[in-house]
This record gives sequence, structure tokens and C-alpha cells, in this order.
Amino acid sequence: MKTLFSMFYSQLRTMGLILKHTFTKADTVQYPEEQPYLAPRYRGRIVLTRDPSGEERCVACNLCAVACPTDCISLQQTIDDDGRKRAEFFRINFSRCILCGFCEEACPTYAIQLTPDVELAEYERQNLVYEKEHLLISGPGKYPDYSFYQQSGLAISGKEKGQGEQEKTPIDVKGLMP
Amino acid sequence: MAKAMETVTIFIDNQAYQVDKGNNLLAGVLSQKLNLPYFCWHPSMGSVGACRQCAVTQYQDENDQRGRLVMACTTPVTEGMRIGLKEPAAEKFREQVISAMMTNHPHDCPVCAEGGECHLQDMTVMTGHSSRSYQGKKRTFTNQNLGEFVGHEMNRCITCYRCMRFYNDYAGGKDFGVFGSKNQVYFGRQTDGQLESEFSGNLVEVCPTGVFTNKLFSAHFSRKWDLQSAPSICAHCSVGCNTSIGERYGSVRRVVNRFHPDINGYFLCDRGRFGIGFVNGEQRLKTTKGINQLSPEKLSRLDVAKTLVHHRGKKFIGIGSARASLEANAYLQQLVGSNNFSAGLSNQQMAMAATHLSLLNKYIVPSVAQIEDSDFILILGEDITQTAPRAALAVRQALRNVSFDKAADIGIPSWQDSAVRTIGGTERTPLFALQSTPTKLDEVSQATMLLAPEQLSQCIEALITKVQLMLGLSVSSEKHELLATLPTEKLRLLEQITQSLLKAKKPLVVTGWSLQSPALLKSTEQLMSVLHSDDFMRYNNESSEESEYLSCQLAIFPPESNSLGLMSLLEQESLSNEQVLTQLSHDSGDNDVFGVILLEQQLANFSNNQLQQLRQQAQVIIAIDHSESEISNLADIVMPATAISEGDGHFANYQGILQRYYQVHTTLSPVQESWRWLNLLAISVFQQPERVDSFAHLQKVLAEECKNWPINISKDVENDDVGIARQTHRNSGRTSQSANFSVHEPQVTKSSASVNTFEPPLNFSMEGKSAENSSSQPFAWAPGWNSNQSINHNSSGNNSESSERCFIYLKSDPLLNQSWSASEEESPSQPNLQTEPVAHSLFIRQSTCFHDDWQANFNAEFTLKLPINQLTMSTEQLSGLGLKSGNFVKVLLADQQVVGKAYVDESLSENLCYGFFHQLTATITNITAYVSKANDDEIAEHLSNQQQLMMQAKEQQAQVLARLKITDQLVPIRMVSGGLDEH
Ligand code: SF4
Ligand code: SF4
Ligand code: SF4
Ligand code: SF4
Ligand code: FES
Repeated sequence: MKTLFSMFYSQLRTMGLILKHTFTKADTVQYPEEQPYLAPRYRGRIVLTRDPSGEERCVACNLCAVACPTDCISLQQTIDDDGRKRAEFFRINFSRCILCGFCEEACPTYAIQLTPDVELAEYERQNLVYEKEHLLISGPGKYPDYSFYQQSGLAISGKEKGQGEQEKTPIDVKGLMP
Repeated sequence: MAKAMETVTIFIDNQAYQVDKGNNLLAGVLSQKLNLPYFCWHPSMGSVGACRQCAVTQYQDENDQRGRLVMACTTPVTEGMRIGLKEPAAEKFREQVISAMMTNHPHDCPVCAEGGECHLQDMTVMTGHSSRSYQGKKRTFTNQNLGEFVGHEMNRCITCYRCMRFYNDYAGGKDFGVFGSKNQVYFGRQTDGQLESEFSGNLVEVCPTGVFTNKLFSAHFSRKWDLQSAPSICAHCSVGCNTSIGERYGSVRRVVNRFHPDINGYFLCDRGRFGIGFVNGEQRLKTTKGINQLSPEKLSRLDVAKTLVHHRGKKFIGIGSARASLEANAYLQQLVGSNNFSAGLSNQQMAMAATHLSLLNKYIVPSVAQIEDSDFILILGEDITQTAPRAALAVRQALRNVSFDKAADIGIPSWQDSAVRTIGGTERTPLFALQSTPTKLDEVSQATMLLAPEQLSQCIEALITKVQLMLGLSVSSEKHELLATLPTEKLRLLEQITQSLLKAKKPLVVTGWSLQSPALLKSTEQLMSVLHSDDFMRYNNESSEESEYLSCQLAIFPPESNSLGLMSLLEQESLSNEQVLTQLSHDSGDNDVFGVILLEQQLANFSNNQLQQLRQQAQVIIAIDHSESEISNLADIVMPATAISEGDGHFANYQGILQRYYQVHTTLSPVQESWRWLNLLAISVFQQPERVDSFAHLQKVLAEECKNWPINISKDVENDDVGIARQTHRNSGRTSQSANFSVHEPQVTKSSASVNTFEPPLNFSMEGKSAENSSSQPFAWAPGWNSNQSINHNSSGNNSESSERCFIYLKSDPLLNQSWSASEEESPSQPNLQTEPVAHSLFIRQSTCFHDDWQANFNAEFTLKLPINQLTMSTEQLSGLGLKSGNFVKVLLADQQVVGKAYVDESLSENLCYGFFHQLTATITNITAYVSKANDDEIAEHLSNQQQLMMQAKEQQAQVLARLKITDQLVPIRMVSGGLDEH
């Protein structure tokens, strides 16, 4: 008797709920005409950002590449005349990328960042291969203030030894003072 | 240091372990593959206790609960000793030591070339120190320019003193030191400048941080985890150091040391470490010459066959070489027949080879580790610091044996480095050198003497007489007289040598090929036979009390990495260079020699005259080589071959030990291994049906065809060998590196099967097991140990001393071909005397570490290190020319005229001069030099040439780098390792 009752109740409740939803606002949107809101931290298309002075942030350290579970990032480091290390080439094969965001987590310079752009569909797989020129944006992305070279001990043109944010002036090795 | 291994039982965290009694606690803990952080201890350099990182808790007995902190590296192990690794106080202490080191450490890891293989990173992770608590400002230093090879980034230093201890104490460097005090200690040179030691590259591996980095590697950098590596053998001298070569995106990036307990240990020389650049050089041959290629894309076997078919059945002379693998040489010899095979050696050198081989047959050659063990060293006419650098480093260690003995007497173990050095003071094991040029070892030897090669042989003879007299043997009166005619100073030296020799328990004689003197080897043979005579042995066995006398050992250093491998193939009927030319000029009708096949041979031992003769008389010259040379320009057919990192093979080192080098990476067609080219020749020219398509197959063929093939090819365990990975398990970019061409990932290159169990197959991927010992280890790694220090975690399994080691086959009957000792060519006539005076004396070439090896010479960095042209002569001779030290002279040597600066050496006799001229090859030595004053035009020309050379080198350096950066992105879809027709 009790079971019979609960069965009926369940049916009625379901019908009630459905009826109620007929009058609520729909969550689905008319994509692509209408765009859903994606939070800035959403993991979509990957970009390479620049530091506050407008220089490329990426120092080609390879940490993103090694963190990548699908091995879809490859790059080569080069040392430029200004003492900065940059990527000679930087390639992401988005046909392999699973947008896990590990590269962003691994990046010590905040260079590589995932953006909320998820529209990464192509008819040709080959078109999903992005080179540095496709990845590099002109701003600092989510971290407007960070500049790796100001923290690091490496001298670059415009920042000699001892001029970093946390540095004392270089020791005079031949000085006699203790 | 530690010899026979005696073990004791110690308890680590209440677990019993057996560790080496003769070593310290830290080494004992590490040998059990337990993790204990350390910095300043080094297995070859011992302990000084500078870093305080290796603290452990030592307990009095089972009941002791508190224990006390001790530094493991300065604590000897004792039976039943109890220690706690995981004891919280010790763990905390270790964490805080790192924490203190980190206060000033720069935020550099992403831009530090050491990152990913940094011992400091590993140790920081190991201690669990994860975030810095120090918020103050960091102390900084400015860096120095230490020359072409080693970069300097002093901010990263943790003051472990390892660099100083290696560079100064271990390698005898003079231009490096430690400056400053308290937390401002600085390691570097007094002023900027090229590090002078031949071993400076080891700083990169010795320093546990990124202070010293490999500049050439940094310029075209790759993380260690991205390198595809394989075990290799250094191709730059006969010591045969074990190396590991790393490749990324199709180009070679660097060479690092691969531990070998008996040969190189933990150290390489700079020629071996930085000489690899030639593989990427501009001079590499990448296309064929004289072969008509039908398809524009690819050379096919058919193309080659069509060209070669014209020479079908003709008679060829094959000239092998000491930088080609044993396999390629043997294959060539097998194709042309041993009566048409030459080693590219002149008559005189063939005579040397014969003596050398017979000496190898008679006396055991010491390994580098055994050199380190000797207690008396006599060097005869070889500047080993320049020609066999790693062996010279071993000699320097042997000099410390006196200190080790003294320390042992008062109970100080050999690993207590600073104590042993203090006790030893300046006392050294006796080292004597009778030589023709001054060397860097002079300053540490007891006595040296500069002699012309001929006098050197005389001197050895006198020494023999002296020894015989000491032994109370009768000597002929002539010999007595000879001794009597010697000047007192020579006599005193001989006296000294004999005295030390008779006292020695493990004497060693070292000589080599660089004087190009058969007489020297002959007299060395006589000396050895006296030192091995029954009388001498009896004398030593009587006089020795406790320790056994080891019969005198002999190390002879031939010039190249596979010299002995090549020499071991020589037969009675093998041809010398002179004989090759006579054979070619013979007109004997049908059976006429038609052409020559040059296997990786630049014919350095041919004079210009002889080269011309060869070109005129040979109908066709086929050159198989990896780099452009005069010969590849002369040749009719050029076949581009692989360099050391691109192929497989065996080299025989100075001891005759055959060591395998593995292919590190594949090449782009048509570059392929020499033996693959030889195989094409075999089919088309020599009408052999067999197609050899893998290295393993080649081994089998050679084992069947050559009697006494030295390499064991039995393989017991078959098929289940999954192989060893050439790539690390975190190799990155696999699905992206060639995606610019195609998103479809290339197939993995197949690797050749192995033919025996001790040379396992290596895979061109990250799949496979890890190596059991360093002899087949592509790169050093152990869990938690990413740096080269990981070797301490897997070195215990090294079995290089096992019975599986191959040794070249030595024929029992000596090579005796009378025509080899035929008299030398007529020496060039005196230069037509102009008005100025001409002095003539015997010229000895000074060996130089960086410029003696043909292959290494292609490195622009080595050219930048080129010493200036110079000639050192006796005071009388120079003043006889009316010149002063520092003036320019012109020198006529063989058929070349060179200009250089003249210097004076007081100790030189009238008839001897030595020097270095970069235009001249290493074999131009021990010949007469005609010296005269250089006129202004000649000087100007010389100076501008020199300058141009430097500028070219700089340009070349930039060019290579620029090209490599382009080719980085041209990673081919499929790298082929199976020859021309593999798809
Ligand atoms: S982790 Fe960051 S800095 Fe390093 S290579 Fe990747 S993007 Fe560049
Ligand atoms: S030395 Fe090691 S810890 Fe220091 S910056 Fe370099 S990689 Fe990082
Ligand atoms: S430079 Fe390197 S080896 Fe030398 S003391 Fe500093 S950390 Fe140690
Ligand atoms: S050149 Fe000789 S000594 Fe130097 S690393 Fe190579 S084999 Fe060793
Ligand atoms: S390793 Fe023991 S104190 Fe440095």
C-alpha cells in the first residue's frame, strides 16, 4: 500500500516539476548567435603574454612543454643581444591539446595563459597548429604587474646585476673591508 | 681510492646494511640507494665537510634515543654503527641548511641552464624545503667572462668549494681561485679571461649549481629531459673516455661524461667535451659527388649502383682510418683483401705500429685507474696533457699516492681530502720526463730533461745500462763508455730515475706517437724488457717487504680514437702509403690497380707531393667521409658518411679495449654510415651478393668472414629484450615538433637489434627499461636525482670490468715487413740562401690539446683558442740570426713555409727547437727546420692571415648557430636509420 502511494507521488511530483520549468528562464543559449558567459579563468585557447614593459614574457624555459600531458608544446630557446632569453619558435598543436591548463600552472613567468575562447574548431586539423606569431598577444593577460626579469638575478640590458627588485648592489670582490 | 672492498654492517633507521669499510658514511648510505642530501663531497675528490648538508643522527647504541648530529661525509663507518636518516632533528637541520643557502639564491631556475638537472634543485626537493622565509634583499655578484667554453653566473653559488677543489687541487689549475670572505665568497679568476686548464669543462659537472654552464650548449640550449641521448665513446683521442651525447631536433647539443670506473671516471677533457661541434659544422658533407641522382628528392640504391657498375670487378686499394669504426675498417679490408689494404700510415709509422703491437702483446697496458695507482712514472717523449689529456689528469692523481700512504700510516683514510693534502704537503710520487718539448706536467715532476728524439733514445739506453749496473749485471764496455761520456747533469738525472725506479712497487712508463719516432718505441721496448727481466723481478721481490711488486706497466698513446683498432687489422702484406703509391704506378696489365677507396681518411700522412701522385695515378678515387677535406675535393666519387653521433661502431682505446658507441640520432639521406656505403660498393663493385641492412647483421657477417673477430656475438637471451630508452620519460613536444609539416606524428625510428647481451638495443623513444650499468646508459638519472650525481645511485652495478669486455685481437707473430723500415724520403733541399743567415735544427711540434685532432679542429671555438705561431730555439741560434726573443722568423718545414714569433729557451741544446704552427699537421715533427728572419711583408701577411682566421671563426660560429636555429624547425617527418631505401 505504502509502495503504491509513493509510486504515484513520484509520478505526480515529476510532472509538477516539469510544469514548473516550463515557466522558468532557459539556461541554454542560442549559440553561436548568443554567447554564454565564460569566466576569465576558463580554460580555452592558449596565448603568450607580454610583461608590463611590453616585452615577451616567455623565457623559453620548457616547463610548460614538459608539463603538457599530450606533449603538444614544442619550442627552442635563443639568447638575444639584450640578454633576454626568448623562444626561437613556439608551437602548440591544438589538435592534440586537451586544454588542461597544466602549462599555465607550470609557467614561472605567467607567460602562457589560457583564455575563455573555446572556439577552436577547424575543418583542417593542420590549421590547429599555432606558431608563436599566432599565440603572442600584446598585453599581460591576467597578471598585469608581474615581470620575471625584475625578480631574477640575470642581468639584461637595462637591468644590471643588483638592480633587480630584491637585490643589493654587487659585492666588490677585491675590496678589503670584511 | 678505495681498493679491495671490505664491508661492515651498519644500522640505518634500525635496518642492517653492508657498506664499504674504506669509505665514509655518506658514500655508504648512497651506495645503498638511500637518499641523503649533500653538496661538497665528491666520489673522486673526497670530503671536506664544507656544506653541512649531509647531517645524520648517530646513536651510541640500541638504547640511545637522542643521538647526536654528525656530518656523514666526514664520519668513517664502523662495525655495528647506528644512524638515523629519518630522525626529525636531522631532517630539520638539513632543511635549514638549504633554507640558509637559498636566502641569496636568485630566482633563476627558468633561465638557468642547469635547471632540470640541478643538484641544488634535487636536494631542495629532497629536504622538503618548499618556500623561502627570508624576505630581505639578496647579495649579488658580477660575473666574469671565462672564455669560449664555460659560462659564469656567480649569484647561484652555494659555496661548496667543489670548483676550487677540482680546478686547483685535482686538475692542477693555476688561474682560478676563491676571493672574499664571510658570505661574500667569490669563485673565479683574478681577471676575466679564458680558463687555461684543459679540464675546465668539468666545472660544469662538478658544480652542483648553475654557476658554471657549458657556453656552447647554452647558445643552442635544450633541457636535459628533452635530449635524446646514447652512450658514446669520445672520438678525439686514444684514451677512449666514455661519453653521453645529447641531441634535440636533429642536431647534436652537447657531450657529458659517462661514468666508467677504469677509464674516465667522473671527468673528461675539454677537447672531448667541447669538440663535438664538428658534427653540426659547416664542413659536413651532405650530398654525394660523382653519382647521378635520378629523382630530385632522394638518392636511391639504383643511382649508386649505376655509377659503380662501371668499376665492376676492378682492383681497388682500400685505405682505412683510425677515426672510422673497427667494423667499417674490417669490412673494407675484407672487400679489397688484406694485400690491398692500407692504414694510411707511412713506412716509418708502419714500423712504429709493428713495435707498438708487439709491445701490446708482451705487456699489460694499465687502465686510467691503474695509472692513478702507480708510484713511479717515467714519461718518454709525449706531452700527454695535450695528446691524451684524461691520462695526464690521472698522472696528477698518481702523484698524490705518497700523501695517501703517509696519511694511511697515521690512520687517516684517503677520502679525508684536506687532511691528506695537509699531511702530503708538497711531497709527490716521483715523476720523470725525458722529452722534446716542455709540458704542463713539468712543474709537478721531480726532474725533466729536454732532448732531441735521437738523444732521447740514447738516454734511454744509458738508463738501461744504469739499471743493469745497479742490479749488478755485467755490461759491455761500450755501454760503460757511453755512460762515461754523458754530461754530469744527465748522469745525475739518470741516477735519480734509477733510484726511484728501484724503490717503486708499481712503476709505469708512458710514451706515445707524437714524436713520430720508431727509435723511441724501439728503445722503450728494450727498457721494458730489462724491467721485466728475471734479474729485475728478483731484485724487487727480495727488497719488497710487505706489498707485492707489480711488474712495470707501459702505456703508449697512439694518435687517434681507433688507432689500435685499425692497427689490429694489419697483416704482413698490408700496404704503407709509399707502397700504395708504388702499386698504383705499376703497370701490370689487366690486374692493374684501378682506384682507391678512402674510408674516412683525410690522408694526413701524405705529403703534398704524394697526394698529387695519388691523384694522377688512380683512375678513380672514392672517398667516404663526413667532412669536407682536400681529399673530398680531389675525389671522383664522394659518399657522405655519418659522424660519431650518427652511427654505431666500436673503437679500441690505447689499451686495446673495444668500446661500443651507439647511434644517438638519425641523419637525413643520403648521409649514411660508412659500412652502408661499403655495402653498396660490395654489391656493385666487388660482386658480393649479400645485402647487409643492419649493424647487427654487419656484425654477424664480419664474425663469419674474419677469422678472430674480436667481438663476441653470441646472444643467449633472445627476443624478450625490450631495449633501453634513448629519451627520458619526460621528453616533451612529441606531438608538436614536426606539426608544422604535418599533424600526423611520425613513426618512431626502428633500432637495430643487438647481437650480444652486453650491448642491449636502444630505442629511439622514451620506451624501454633503464640501463643496468653505465656501459649502456644513455643518460644519468635516478628517481629524485636528475643531475649527473645520480650516478652514485646506480654506479654500484657497473660491470665494465666483467668478462664480457672485448679486446682487440692481437696476432701472435710480429709484423715484420722489411720494406716498411725503408729509408725516409729525401729531405727537402736547403732553401736557396739569400742574403740573410739561415739556422737549421731539428723541429719538434708542440702538441696542443685543441688542435691536434682533425675532427675537433672544425670547431670555430677551438680556432678562437688557437695559440699564435711560435718557435722556441736556443739562445745561440736565435742570436746567430741576429734576432731577439719576440721577433718574427720564417721557417721552412717539409715543403711548407710558415711564419711565427721566435722565443728563447735556455735549456735547449743547439740542434733542437720546438714550436707550433697552425698550418702544419700533427705529423710534421721531428724534421729539420730552416729558420731565417722574416721580412716585413711576410710578417704583415702572417698577421693579417691570423686575424682573418679569427674573424672567419667568429663568422662561422654565428653561421652555424643561425643555421641550426632554422633546422630546428625542419625536423623531418621520418628520420630514417636503415640506409637509402628505407621508407
Ligand atoms: S613555461 Fe612559460 S616561460 Fe617557460 S617556456 Fe612555457 S610559456 Fe615560456
Ligand atoms: S642553480 Fe639550480 S636552483 Fe639555482 S637557479 Fe639554477 S637551476 Fe635553479
Ligand atoms: S661555484 Fe659551484 S662548485 Fe664552486 S663553490 Fe659555488 S656552488 Fe660550489
Ligand atoms: S680527448 Fe681523449 S682524454 Fe679527452 S675526453 Fe676524449 S678520449 Fe678523453
Ligand atoms: S657533503 Fe658532507 S658536509 Fe658537504
